[in-house]
Amino acid sequence: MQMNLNRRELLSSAGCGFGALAMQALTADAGGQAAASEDVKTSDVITGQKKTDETLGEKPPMYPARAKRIIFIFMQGGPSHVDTFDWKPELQKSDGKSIDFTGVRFGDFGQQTKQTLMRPLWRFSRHGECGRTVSELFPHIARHVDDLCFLNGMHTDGVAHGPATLFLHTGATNLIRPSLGSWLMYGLGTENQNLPGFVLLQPSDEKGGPRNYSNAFLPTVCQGTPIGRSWKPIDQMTIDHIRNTQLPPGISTERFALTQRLSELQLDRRTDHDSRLDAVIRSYELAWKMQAKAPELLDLSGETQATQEMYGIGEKATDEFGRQCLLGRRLSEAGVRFVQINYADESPNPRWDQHSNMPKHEEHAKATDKPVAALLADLKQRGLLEDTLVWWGGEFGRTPFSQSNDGRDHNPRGFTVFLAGGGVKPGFSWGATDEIGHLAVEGKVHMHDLHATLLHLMGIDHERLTFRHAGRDFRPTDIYGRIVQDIIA
Amino acid sequence: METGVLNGAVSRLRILVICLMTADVVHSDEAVDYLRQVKPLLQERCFACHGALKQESGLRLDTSALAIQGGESGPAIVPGEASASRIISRISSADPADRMPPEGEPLKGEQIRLIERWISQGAMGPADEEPEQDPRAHWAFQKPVRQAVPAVSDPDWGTASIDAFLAAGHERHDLKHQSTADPLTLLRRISLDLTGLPPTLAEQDDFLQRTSKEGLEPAYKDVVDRLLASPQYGERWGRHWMDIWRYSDWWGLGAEVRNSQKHIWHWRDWIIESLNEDKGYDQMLREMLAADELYPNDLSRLRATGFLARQYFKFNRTSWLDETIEHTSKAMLGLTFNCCKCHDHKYDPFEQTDYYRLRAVFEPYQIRIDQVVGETDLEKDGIPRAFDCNLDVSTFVHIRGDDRNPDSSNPLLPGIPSVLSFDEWKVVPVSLPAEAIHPGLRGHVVQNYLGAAQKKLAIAQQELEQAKADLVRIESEGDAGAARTVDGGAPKEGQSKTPEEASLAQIAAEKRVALSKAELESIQHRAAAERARVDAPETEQTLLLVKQAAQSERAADVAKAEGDLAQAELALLRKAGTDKLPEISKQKQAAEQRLQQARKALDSPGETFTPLAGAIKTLESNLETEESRMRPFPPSSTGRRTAFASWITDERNPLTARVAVNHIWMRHMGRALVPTVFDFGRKGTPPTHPELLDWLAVELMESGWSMKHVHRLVVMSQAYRMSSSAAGFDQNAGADVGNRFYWRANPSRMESQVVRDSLLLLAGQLDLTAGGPSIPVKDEKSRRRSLYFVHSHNEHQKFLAMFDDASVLDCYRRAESIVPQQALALENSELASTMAAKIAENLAQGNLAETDEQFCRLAFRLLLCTEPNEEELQLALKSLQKLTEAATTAKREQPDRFARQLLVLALINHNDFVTIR
Repeated sequence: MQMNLNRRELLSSAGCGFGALAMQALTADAGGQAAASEDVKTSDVITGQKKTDETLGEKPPMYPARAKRIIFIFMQGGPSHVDTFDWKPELQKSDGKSIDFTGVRFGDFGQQTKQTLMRPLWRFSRHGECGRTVSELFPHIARHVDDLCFLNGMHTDGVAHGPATLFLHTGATNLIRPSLGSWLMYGLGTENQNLPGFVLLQPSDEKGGPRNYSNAFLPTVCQGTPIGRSWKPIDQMTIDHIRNTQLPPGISTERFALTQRLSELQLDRRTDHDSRLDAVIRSYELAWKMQAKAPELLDLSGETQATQEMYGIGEKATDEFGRQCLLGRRLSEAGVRFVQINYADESPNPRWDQHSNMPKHEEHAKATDKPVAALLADLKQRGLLEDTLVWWGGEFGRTPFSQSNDGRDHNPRGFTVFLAGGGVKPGFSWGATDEIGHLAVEGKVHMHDLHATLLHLMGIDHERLTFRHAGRDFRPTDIYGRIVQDIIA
Repeated sequence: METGVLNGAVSRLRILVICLMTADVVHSDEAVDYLRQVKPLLQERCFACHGALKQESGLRLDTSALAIQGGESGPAIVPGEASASRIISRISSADPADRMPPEGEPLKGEQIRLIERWISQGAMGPADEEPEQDPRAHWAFQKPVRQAVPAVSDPDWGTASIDAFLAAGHERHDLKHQSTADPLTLLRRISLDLTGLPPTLAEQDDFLQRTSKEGLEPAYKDVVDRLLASPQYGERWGRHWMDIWRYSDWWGLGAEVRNSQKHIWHWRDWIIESLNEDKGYDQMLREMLAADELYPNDLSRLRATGFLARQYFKFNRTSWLDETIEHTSKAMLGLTFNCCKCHDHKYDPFEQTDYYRLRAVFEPYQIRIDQVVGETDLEKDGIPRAFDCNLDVSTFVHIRGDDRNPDSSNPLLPGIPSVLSFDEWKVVPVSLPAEAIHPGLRGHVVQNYLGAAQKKLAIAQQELEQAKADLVRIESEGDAGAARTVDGGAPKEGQSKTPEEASLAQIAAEKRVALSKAELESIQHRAAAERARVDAPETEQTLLLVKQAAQSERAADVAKAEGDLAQAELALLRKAGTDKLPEISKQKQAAEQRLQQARKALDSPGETFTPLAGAIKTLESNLETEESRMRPFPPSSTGRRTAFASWITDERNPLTARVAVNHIWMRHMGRALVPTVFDFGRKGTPPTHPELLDWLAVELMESGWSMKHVHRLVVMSQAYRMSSSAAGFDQNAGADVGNRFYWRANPSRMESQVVRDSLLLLAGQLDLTAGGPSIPVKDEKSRRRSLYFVHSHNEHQKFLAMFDDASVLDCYRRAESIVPQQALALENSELASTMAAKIAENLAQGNLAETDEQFCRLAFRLLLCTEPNEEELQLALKSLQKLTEAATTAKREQPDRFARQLLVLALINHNDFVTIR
């Protein structure tokens, strides 16, 4: 058959170049898919519509993109905006004052209570040419404010960690929706042919766990790949099954070659239009490349002493998060589309969740400030910040009033995140909360809006990125989402 | 100023005129294609209300003639005059209250202009344009009728009825069909298909031998019989139905159950057992929906209502019932009822009220956990099951689907959509037997309590003996005795050191024995009184028994307080001089008080007692109080679910059997007859072989809904037995490359469970223990079949999650994926390499694999059920050599053995291993 002759020719001419073969198979497959879906009114109506080759290739954006990749630095638990990046002089003055508050939590929903305002516990000062106020919690990040774009009028859905964390990742508080990274994989494919396109460093198994990086109904190839887990020691930050611990490299190569050559023979033996075989050959080739490439990428020892020190590696407080940030840069540099760096744990009160003892924020700031600043500096000095979009933030902020004496409760109705690089205005702030930092009142950006904007910067129209599942079209922002044009450079 | 304004207006007008002219110039002469451009637009946005489904304002737009004819407000279209056409003014209205369509985004400018141009050009449609079919006439809403089996002229084709139905497609499209697959491929296919396990070498040899001696037919038939009769059939097909019925172990936060229920595995075991005994599909559905009303005391059948227990969601009753309705409809009826939660269905003739009438069927039900034999602790075991709890609760339409906005003026009665009713819908309330209302009456529950009390008594008696011995020893040995225990060691915390202590310890132990005896008696008396109260409520004898029960319950309270007091006194002595003393003193005082009260209660024991608890209701929501949870179970059930189940399983129901055989067919044949397996409505895809679908549906019903009968029909057909190869069938590629007409078998990829189970079986490691509690996902050493692992939204077995596992949220069809992570798992996981080593070791046993060539042939046979061809054999042999060399260089012990393991691992990674050909 013509098609198989082509395959054979390709195989013999390309040597070990299975990649070329697989690409050819993909084009051949497109015809097959169309034919196979004839008996389905809309080709992808059905969940589990047979997806024989879920392409890992790169797909063009819908329109010119400002960013090629995203690094999301997830601050689990909800850092307090009024103690970090949202300076509220009025709150300072009103310390101890009582205000009326309508409950939003499950137990106190709609109840009228009196709450006592608590002043910011750290001092703020102005930084950079833009004169941005940052609290003393983040002295290192403060040096980069001229590269940062702050969104002070954020608000979101979900008052508890579980729902809000799911919402942050998937745009839904309780339903099963694909993660933003999965949507990106679905829309753009992967830039890198040796690594998965959507990875998470040290993610938590709690607060939704894998649901936060699940492909849900999108093709499996869109799922996030965890590297390590928050409960595993940092030196086990690696991809599952990436190494065969039993085989020395020489044997490994020979063994792998045997698998691939057997498959190659299969192409001869089975001329049955089974595009799966091509996809299998390709997946093995990718797996092989991952095995070859990933351990080297995951190994930070090749970085200079100076770089390691810049990230705080080797220092007790910053070692873990420093390693994550440095690995984040390496993966991003290698073309991983969406890297999520997690400052997370497995506790019911995760990391930044200071319902009492706000001073504990200092510990978290110390662990993350220097590494994040180093990541920003490093991206910039390598020219990567141009087309890498950095996103720092938690699932919500914290209340301006106190809880349990010296803590703060969750506040989904007003908080701050910052972005950098990838087409956003540098040294810029957008939106505001009210005088005490409770509710977003100006330049309000809902989490759906943030998602829409991030996708837009990646060259994707969130309204046109749809997938038909269970009888209807789904998109990452449900029926919401507004692109925040004001922050785009 | 004025001129300026005027100038501005004029210039704007000029621009407008130019724009209009340009638009005309560019488009006016371009003919609009009504069927291709206009009709699909009208269909998408207008037909739901102005078509066959509904005729709002008497208007239909599903043919151009009907649109011109118009409705109550006159013609919608005036041909040639777009501006005079009502449709244009309505779709382009700036007033949202007036604008059509009323929901969703307004039509886009270019869409409106397209319709305008079509009207300007005369609003032409084809002369023979047919209006949409009456939705009630939709094929899937008609009862399936047994179709005549067509005659087949092809002598080389099979003689089964299925083959005859398929032959028509071959002939029509001039398709050459494949011949029978080679025996080993067929054996592997049927084994994996019916049991999820590949054939062993012995089974292969046996089959080859029988085939060559007696021919394929009898040998194959016997294999089918053997496999269908094996318990592994129920496990394989049980997993399929678990996909469709959304099996999920419980998940929540920490120990708090938020979704599904603990011990839901009882339902899984019921599924497997029911399939193995070939319980009718109709009976299975009846039990899943209403066993609590139909068999209220049959614990084995009550397990089936795990289907309803699985839908549990703690935080929102509406979400809970929405999922129940959506997935009952999709799984059992192939209908997307969920679409009419907020509005009338846009495609099918169902109204929003139909949705809430269906909700009313489920509205009263809640979950409780009933005691099983041998366990009183419901945290450890019990059967999660449905029961009607809130008999009087009303159901209202939620306006626009918002549960905060119920239309409480109009309570709804349970019911089914009129378009699908064939009989009077009758709901007959069910009065329940005493044991269902008071599960404490059940014989095994009483035995559970007695057994537990007897065990406690035995322990107390043993402890008493020990305490006595301690006292004797300490008294006789003096200080020396106090310094050590019977075992010879120094006394530990809680052991006596002095005669005084030992003496108090003995008293405390005596009290514990007394307590155990009192409890035992209390259980016996309470059980007897409860039984009497049910059997002969008003008699003297009953009153006597009730009094006795009350009395012994009070006596047990006294014994308990006495025991606590004795224990506190002992503690006081033991902790003398420590800072724990004040706390213990308080405890002692409290015990004294309790004792006083208990004695007072015993003086006038009254006629109330606590019946034995045989079940506990699961919290209705996070807001339910313990008090309402502990209320007695209602004496009757509404009968709503029984009525619903009878309607679903009635042979006049047009959907149930069709949906079921479609699921079965798809899993055998790798392709569904109706590809939209959960949507047989008008938005779904029509069947590729309608006569065959109906014939199978009728066969299912007329065989007493025997699924094994349908399996046999399918797997005994020639169509099933064909080779999956397309080699030499190039001429078919043009007409049917996707194999819609079954001219060859469809190869399919193994689901995750089959990959793991196959590995274990071939390595001789599979543990075939059936049923029981789900295995924790972290138990990587378990060799049980994969369907027994915990499978919930939060927990997935790591190896299984790499392949195509079932989503617990909905899985009417498994996805097929091929991703590098699977390759890594099969290449590098501990499971794959351990099993490869075992397989190589097993093959080396005996004398069949002495040479490398023998080993290679055997390995291909075992793992892929095929002989290697010459090229493959040479490749394998050469690789063995190279691998041996590499292993020698790496200083591996027994390099040749190691190389053989690696060859096995390579074959595990072979595409044909994970493919069912």
